[in-house]
Amino acid sequence: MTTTTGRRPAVAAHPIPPPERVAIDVRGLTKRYGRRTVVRGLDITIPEGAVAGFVGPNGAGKTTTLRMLLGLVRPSGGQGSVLGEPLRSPVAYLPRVGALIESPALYPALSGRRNLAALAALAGLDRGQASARVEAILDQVGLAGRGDDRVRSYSLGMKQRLAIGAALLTDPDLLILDEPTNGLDPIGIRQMRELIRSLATRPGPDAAEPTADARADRGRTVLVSSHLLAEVEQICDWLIVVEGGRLAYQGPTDRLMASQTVEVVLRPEHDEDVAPLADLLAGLDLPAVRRADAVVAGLATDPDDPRAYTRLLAAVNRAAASRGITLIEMTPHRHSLEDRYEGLVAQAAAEPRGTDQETSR
Amino acid sequence: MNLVLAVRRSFRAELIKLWRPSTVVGMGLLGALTVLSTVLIVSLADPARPRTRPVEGPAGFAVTTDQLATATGIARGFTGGSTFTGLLIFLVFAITITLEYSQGTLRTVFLREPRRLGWLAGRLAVMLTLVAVALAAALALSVGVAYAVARIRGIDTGAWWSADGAAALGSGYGNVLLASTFFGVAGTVLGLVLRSTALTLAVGVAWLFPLEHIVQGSWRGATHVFPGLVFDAVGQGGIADASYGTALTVSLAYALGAAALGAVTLTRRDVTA
Repeated sequence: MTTTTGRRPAVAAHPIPPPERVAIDVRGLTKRYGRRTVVRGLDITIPEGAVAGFVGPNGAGKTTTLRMLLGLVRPSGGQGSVLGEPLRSPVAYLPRVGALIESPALYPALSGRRNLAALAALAGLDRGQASARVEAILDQVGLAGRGDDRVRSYSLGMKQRLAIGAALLTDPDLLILDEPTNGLDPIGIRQMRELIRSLATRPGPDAAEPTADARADRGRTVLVSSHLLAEVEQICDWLIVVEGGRLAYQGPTDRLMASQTVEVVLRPEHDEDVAPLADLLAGLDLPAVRRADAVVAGLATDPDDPRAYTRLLAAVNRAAASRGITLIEMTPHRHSLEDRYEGLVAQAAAEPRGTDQETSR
Repeated sequence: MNLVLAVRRSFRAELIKLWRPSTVVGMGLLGALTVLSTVLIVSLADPARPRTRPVEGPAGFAVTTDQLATATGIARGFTGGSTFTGLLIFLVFAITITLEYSQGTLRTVFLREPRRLGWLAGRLAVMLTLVAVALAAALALSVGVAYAVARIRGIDTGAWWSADGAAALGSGYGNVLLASTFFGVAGTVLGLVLRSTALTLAVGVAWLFPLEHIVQGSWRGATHVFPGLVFDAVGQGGIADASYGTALTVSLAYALGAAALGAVTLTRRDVTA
């Protein structure tokens, strides 16, 4: 057995959900401004009910992609569907979509309540519906007490929450949030994370701890673009990584995290057993680094078989015991999403970009 | 049908947005400008003879007391200030549309109402309705002020309260409203094309007002060719160098051309603000 090298299998072999369970499914999405290609033939598939993280370095094309999905920017190429409607007909699906793109864009001279009321009228809610919905939203985003204050007097965090409230006005099936934690302090970020978690499901009789399937049943999908990978790792069960306008990874977050080599510190009871232990690992074809009192082994994981890694660890333990080596420590060190992200981005950046003609569809 | 729905929704939403102090300030400014022009026209009217125009011709600020004493005198203060009104309407329409870009609210709006033309039509309808109401209030103010100043100057206002006087008020109001609509459309479309408040105001105000008048000084034909001048001529019910019919035709052509340009710009352009 050897460590995984070359292209990561998770990139090439992510599972595509069946079409009837897909919220967003676009192929070859491309945007060019003159000779500059910002988004290069991006394929995105997001299952219904997923909380999907959309990450990538600055200038990777995240916001442009989201704007194309929302009908604000006209794609130069590509096709697909959003909520089952053609990508090229945003009029058909936008009534079921809520979005916050970049900074909150609200009317500063109007109160929070009036901002929401104007957007509710635009969305076609009648006066009675709009009034009830606005009150419910203000309550949901924690602004009920400040609803009559002008938006220009709000803090950035309050504006962000109001903008998310605006996105929720029509109880959307798809919520798209672009950098919702931008500019927020740590408390604001935590509040936003809790809010996004709560948004991942619609209130219902069995709303506690919803599973992905339960969310899919209730139909709300959340797509969050963020630079904060720790946040994404905590919130998102689906991940899309882009670099230079191209897809670097797409699939379940836990699959990405599982498709890696785990470093395990193996510490024998006696220091003199370090060398025999290293030889033992070499005999098992496992990469190992010797230290004074331990060996650090690299154990490859199999994303399709989460128990394979623990079986391998047990086999190492048995082999050591059979040679009279007692292990007093087996400590795995899993890489964070940040570590994995850096690798994905570096790998994608190293690949040739091709000409614009090659990448456009 | 969907477009009509979008216009109705946009109308309701824009109505909610207008409910703020700056709307009252704008309407107050319109009233104040109208009062100012009325005071100037009635108080500065030449008692001797018409300076440049025959007795019945509309002439902006160049009015005689004889003209003021006719039935049409009741509306002269109001129509004479149509240049001011047009400038104000142009500024308000240009500023409000470009603010949608600079504040980023255009993307918020288009996420809720992607039928962009419907949104624009509803928005223009609300703003022009507000202009119509503001102009009606300004007309009432103008008549009151004109009557007071005319009494002070000893001008006979007996003919004002006749059917002809009412007709003059009606046509004066209609003409100023039409001119305001043209200025409003011009401001909106220029704002849509340039997307920057500063640039729109610099280009629009510089062209429509000083530049056109400078060119007019050396080329009389400019009066029935340049947009600001023909809009102004419509507001005054026609002037010596541009009859009402000519001014209205040219203005309509400008407005339709601008509307087409605005529609293409709004629907084809990416929203990146």
